[in-house]
Order: sequence, then C-alpha cells, then structure tokens
Amino acid sequence: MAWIRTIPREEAGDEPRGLMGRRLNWKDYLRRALKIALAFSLPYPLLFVGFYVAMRQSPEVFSGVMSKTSNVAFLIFPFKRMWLSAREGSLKVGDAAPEFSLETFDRKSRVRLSAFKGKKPVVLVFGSYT
Amino acid sequence: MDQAEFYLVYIQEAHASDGWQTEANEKEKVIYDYPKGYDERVSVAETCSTNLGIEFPALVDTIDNKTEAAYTAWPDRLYLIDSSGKVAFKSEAGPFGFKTDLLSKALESISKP
Repeated sequence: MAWIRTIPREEAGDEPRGLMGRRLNWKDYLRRALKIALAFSLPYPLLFVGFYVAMRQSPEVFSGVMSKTSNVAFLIFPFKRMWLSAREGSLKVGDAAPEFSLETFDRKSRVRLSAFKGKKPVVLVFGSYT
Repeated sequence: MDQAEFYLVYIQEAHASDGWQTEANEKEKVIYDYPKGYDERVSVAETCSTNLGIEFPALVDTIDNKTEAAYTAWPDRLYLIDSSGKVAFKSEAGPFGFKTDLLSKALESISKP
C-alpha cells in the first residue's frame, strides 16, 4: 500500500469545470439544479393526472394499468390520497341506497334491499376473494 | 349481528391473476382470473365464503358489475343502510378506508333509542 499517497485537490485538477474549462460557481450549480428540477417537473403533472384518471376507470382498466406500473409509483405519487379521492363515488350519507336484487352464492334465494325498508338496518360488505 | 342484517356483496376481483396480481395472493395461492361469466363468479364467491369462514350470507353481483358501480364499491367498501333505506354510513374506498371500527360506531349510533 506504499504506492498510495494523498494528492492535493489542486494538483489533481479535479475541480468541477464547465464545458469551456471554467471553474463552476454557485450560479452554475443553481442553473443545473433548476434544469434537473424542470426535467422532472414537466412529466410529473402529466403522469399524476394520467394515474388519477386511471384510478377512476373500471377495475379491469385500472388493474391493467397497475399490472404494467412499477412500484416506484407508490413512492412518487401520494397514492392513498389520490385513491381515496378518485374512488369517492357520488353516493353520499343521507342518499337513498341504490336498489338491488342479488342471488345468494348458493343460489337458494334472492335478496332485494328494499325488502328491509321499515324493518331493519342492513350492513353491506363489498369485496372479493383476491 | 342482531342490530342489522349483514351481507357480503361479492364483486369484481381486486387482484385477478390476469389483472393486477399481487405477491401476497401468489404466496397464499389465492389465484383467480376475472370470472368469464356469472356462474364462475358464483363459484369463486362460494370458495371465498367457505375458505374465509364468512358467517353471513354472500350475495353475488351481476357480471355487468351494476351494484358495484352504483355503490363505487371496488375493491372493497363498507356501507350501513338504515331502516328507512338511506345510506347511514359509507366507508372510504378500500383497502385504506375499510375500517370496521367506524362501521361499529355508526351501528351503535343508529341503534340508540
């Protein structure tokens, strides 16, 4: 290891320099930082809007987008806030609950929501296996 | 459970294997394509209800996802409908908004005389 010696910065000539060989000052650094920020800031709003619009599409369309999207999207976008907003829906507390008539999975009976009107509250747990 | 009727409404798959498959489902071998028809959805709903030991009845949404769309319910969501047929509680969209404690509070509040 004897061949290793410390080379003074001036001697090494490794100060950051611009294309014309001029030493970079703080304005150059600021200019570069702004360029980088601009390069990222232009596509970000477009991706943000695109992602939000995708969240408002049908489950198949959104799932298709997500299956091709890197997990990095979860880091660069405020996913949770966007999701809760995009999937808010128009139904509000106090609105009449939309009527449905659905079969039970054993197909032995059919349940109509309006059948409980004036009788009992109903809890609906929407979901799937996956 | 006596305070209200409970129903699972089985809707479109959240993480179908031909859609947005997740590693967690792969590990647990919960691997299902989007149902190609109503019969297939009924079959998966039955498997879900049995395997997860769900104690209340499961209703199956039609294959055109009409009920899911009316309630903006995908991928999962909780609702409480009061006895006058109005929405008394609506959770935020799952999975983030699937908060059963808030449903319990809503149930308690409408059960008070």
